[in-house]
Amino acid sequence: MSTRYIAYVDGQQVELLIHPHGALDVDGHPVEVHLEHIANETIYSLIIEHHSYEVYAEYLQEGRWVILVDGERHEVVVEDERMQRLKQLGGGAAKPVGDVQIKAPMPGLIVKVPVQEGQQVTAHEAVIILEAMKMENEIRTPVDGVVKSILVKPGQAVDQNEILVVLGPP
Amino acid sequence: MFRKVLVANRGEIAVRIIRACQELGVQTVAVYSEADRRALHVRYADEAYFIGPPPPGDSYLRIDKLIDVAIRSGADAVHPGYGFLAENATFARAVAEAGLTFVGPSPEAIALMGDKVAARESALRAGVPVVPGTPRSLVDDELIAAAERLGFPLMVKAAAGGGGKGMRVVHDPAELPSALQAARREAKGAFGDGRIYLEKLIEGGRHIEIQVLADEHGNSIALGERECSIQRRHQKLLEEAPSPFVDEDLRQRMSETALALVRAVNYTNAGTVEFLVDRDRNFYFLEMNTRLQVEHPVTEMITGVDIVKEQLRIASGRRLRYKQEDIRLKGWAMEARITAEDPYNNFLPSTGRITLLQEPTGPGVRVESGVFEGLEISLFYDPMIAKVIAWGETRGEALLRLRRALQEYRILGIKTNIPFHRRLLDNTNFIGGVYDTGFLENTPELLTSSARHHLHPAAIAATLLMHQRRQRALVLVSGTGDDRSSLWKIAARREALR
Repeated sequence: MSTRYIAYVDGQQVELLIHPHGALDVDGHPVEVHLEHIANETIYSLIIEHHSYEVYAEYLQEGRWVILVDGERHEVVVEDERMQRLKQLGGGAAKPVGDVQIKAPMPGLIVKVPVQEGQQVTAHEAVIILEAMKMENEIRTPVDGVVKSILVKPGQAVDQNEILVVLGPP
Repeated sequence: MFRKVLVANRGEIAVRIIRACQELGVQTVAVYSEADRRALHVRYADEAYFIGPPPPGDSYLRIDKLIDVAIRSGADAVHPGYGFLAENATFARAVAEAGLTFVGPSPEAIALMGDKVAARESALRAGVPVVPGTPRSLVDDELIAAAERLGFPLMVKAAAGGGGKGMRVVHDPAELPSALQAARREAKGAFGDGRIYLEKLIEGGRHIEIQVLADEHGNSIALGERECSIQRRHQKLLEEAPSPFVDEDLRQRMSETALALVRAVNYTNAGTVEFLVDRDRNFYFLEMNTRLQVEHPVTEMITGVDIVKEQLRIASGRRLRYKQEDIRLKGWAMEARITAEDPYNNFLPSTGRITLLQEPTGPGVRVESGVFEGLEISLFYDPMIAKVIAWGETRGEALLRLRRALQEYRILGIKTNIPFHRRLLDNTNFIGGVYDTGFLENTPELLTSSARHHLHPAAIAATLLMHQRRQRALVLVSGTGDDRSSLWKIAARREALR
């Protein structure tokens, strides 16, 4: 039986079908591929239809990979059919349905909270100013939403991954 | 020449200084914090001394500990590198009082040039043109009043500043009060000195600086200019020498002006006079950096002068080995600063362990690196991990070499700004040498990811490897599989059958 995968390369979707004898279809077209392991469980030589690429691959978790193709970095999420079905049951994971937590990407000091609870925010808007490495960094919301709660205040030191702001659906 | 030099720094610049010492037959002493026990500079130096916990305030900025190590190790000189205590007159004085030589200018010159306003006044007295601005230590109300006279846009700057910290551009009078507050906060946090001042913003200006060397016998030379206009929030990202904007006449005028300032303040050792150059080739003094610069290699590549070795020779009392007419610029050099920052996420610092690293090599490529595979990138220090410098006979060759070198750069475990540099080097305006300090702000497309080119290779590699992991897991569960890497073997067999 062939195995169907969906790969999301920096968010762009590619459909791949691996046949029992190793033949591969990419977005419905058969593609001749040869992947050769070089070293370290990380370095590979990839030849696609005689185009040669050097690939460095690092597995993170849950189907997530960091792939360097000729030095260019990509984040790839690979899902098999089971994972896709689970996602469909969950009502589709493409858009967040519940609350979104905005976490500190690094330890630092809260300098400013430019939003208020109840405020409507749009994607890429700054919600926290965090000082780290002596620079003020804007922490922005990845999605549209309403500020449900603010868990930090200016002057407070925070650890990496500490929840700063919780957004509800817009 | 010195017998033993204490390198009061870390990272790539400590390695750079150790290399210069080794080439001169000088012994080296490294210092390290708890975070740096495994660092390259510790491994490359002849001796190494522990100086405290990771925060710089507890280790690399502790003058008492550094002087103590210098004395205990029997060093006769101290090289401060850049950053940390490199422009701290108190440190330079403490080194001298301990009977050692500070590899750099006198404490008086450091203090004078380190105070941006005093430096400005010295420049004016030496006949060096400066950008119109306000005096220091005005309160916010006075600054707001002065702003109306200067006109917008203008810059808010920290009196004790450097490296873009505490600096703000203000276009709209309404933004000024909050910009003043933010700049004071940053200045206070970074330098412990909240004094700020205003300066008229020269729009379309280019940041071009002159490297100088001066000995203790009254001789001084200029080593040409460096173009540093590719900046984000006043942090330089890529530098080149010469500047595509500077012709021989402008170079000569800027060099003579820089040397006039050097003589006026009795400056010795290596230094850099930074200028803002407007579209009409008028130039204005910005500041003088009384130390080695991050971007010094581009000057080394086109002049053949090893600036760090010259610093050591000058500090040991020798005369300059070069006269101005000996300095001839040959070819072109470009430097990309590689930082552990995510260019697609507002340059947020990226921390973690470098799981894999392969640095570029090949013709015309020089890498100044402070990192290695297995190193943990922490938040305690500057995010710059390495510099890649390319030399070419022409600007075009240097650019293409830098692009090739960045394609060869392989790093896993952390995110870096390499994708940004690669897009910059493909930008037609940059290729044409048409850019100013506002270039990045006006070219936002450099900061958006485009995966199109490698979409399929990335998808195929990740999926095949994912499939292999899954097959392996099945094998482990069932215990029946025999060939773990069957996937590509089959693919190869299939290929052979065609």
